[in-house]
Amino acid sequence: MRRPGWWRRNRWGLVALPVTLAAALAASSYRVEDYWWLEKPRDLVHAERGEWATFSASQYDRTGDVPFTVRVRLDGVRPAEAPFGEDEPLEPPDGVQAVAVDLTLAAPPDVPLSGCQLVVRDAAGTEYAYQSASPSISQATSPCVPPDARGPELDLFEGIDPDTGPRRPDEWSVSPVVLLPDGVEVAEVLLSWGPPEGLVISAD
Amino acid sequence: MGGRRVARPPARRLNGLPRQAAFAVLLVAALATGRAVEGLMPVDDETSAPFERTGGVGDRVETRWGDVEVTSVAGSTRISDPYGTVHVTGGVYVVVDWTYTAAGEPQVPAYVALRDTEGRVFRTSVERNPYSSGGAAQPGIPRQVAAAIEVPADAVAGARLVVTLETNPEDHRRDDIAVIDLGLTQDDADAWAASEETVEVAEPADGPEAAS
Repeated sequence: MRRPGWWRRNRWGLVALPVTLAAALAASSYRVEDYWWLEKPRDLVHAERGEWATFSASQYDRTGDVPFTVRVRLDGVRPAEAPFGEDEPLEPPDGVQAVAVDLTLAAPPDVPLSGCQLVVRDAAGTEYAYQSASPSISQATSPCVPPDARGPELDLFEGIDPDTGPRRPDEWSVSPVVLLPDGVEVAEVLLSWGPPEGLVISAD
Repeated sequence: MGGRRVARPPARRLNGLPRQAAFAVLLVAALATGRAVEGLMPVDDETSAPFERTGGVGDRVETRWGDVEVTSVAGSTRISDPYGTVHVTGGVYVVVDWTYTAAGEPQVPAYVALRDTEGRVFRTSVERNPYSSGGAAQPGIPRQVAAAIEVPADAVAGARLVVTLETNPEDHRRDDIAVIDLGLTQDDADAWAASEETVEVAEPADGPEAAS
């Protein structure tokens, strides 16, 4: 009787090989989530300027996950006249423009929404962030809520009431200001209340 | 018992050793060779070394995360930090003014140090070695910053400024670091070690370099 060939003798090993390789790759990529997926908003909802977008995501605090839903509309991007929520004059240095991002948001007043990040992108994907304090600008800490009626905060510290301020309206408008180099055109506005979820609105 | 013994085929031999023993010997030899090669060659240092982007004063040194340009270097035994506090040293304060332009997204060059010709590294710190980045700089908007670092006088000649994002040197592996030769000489070291003139350490500011 002929001995079975190499392929036949090793058939189960050959079947197991791709499975083992896939398992080894999966086992060694345990940092992908922390170092890539959760590094930036990547699970994106897309919307267009001038239309309402409904965005649902989740934050977390002492009480556990805090899911929320907010409706957002980008009304436009225009040259800014003043920092957001401050009376100080806006004096960008030479070569720098200040743009105001006009947004209207709607959510029940008991939803904590102050912890949001706003980023604008140009057509090449370069990102410019909303900054509340930098050498060139000082403005409200949160770009997403009215500075004088922020609504509740996340319940982060024991013994501190997270909801003490005035009631936030059901619908409100904000105009956070982002500094950009002269000549840069805003193509997209990206809002996130913590990666990986994000809302990206085309500014065209 | 009592049955006929069936002749077993002789075990295949390799160099006189049973096949399994030969395999074990080869395996151990391969591991030992790998270990020896790793020990003899600077594998760890080489594979985890940062990528040094070098230049001199006035050069725009390009890195993955932005551009660094040293605009001026001064030195003395006395500095005044951005809060107005005066610091005095028995060595030398090297005060470097430089401009940083982020690339791609807002970023903070948080690691700033002087490296001398012996490889000693002197870093900025909160109290005695003032440096403030002003927070993340928007891409394309130059951020002017200043760092003052206290070094012994014998570290001044040939010193280089090292700038990168991550504060922990372990995290510099396989990333770009800017290394700028400050063009300093022993004459600078001697003059600065004897100088009692207070050098101001500027606050961070945005925009192109102001006419001074």
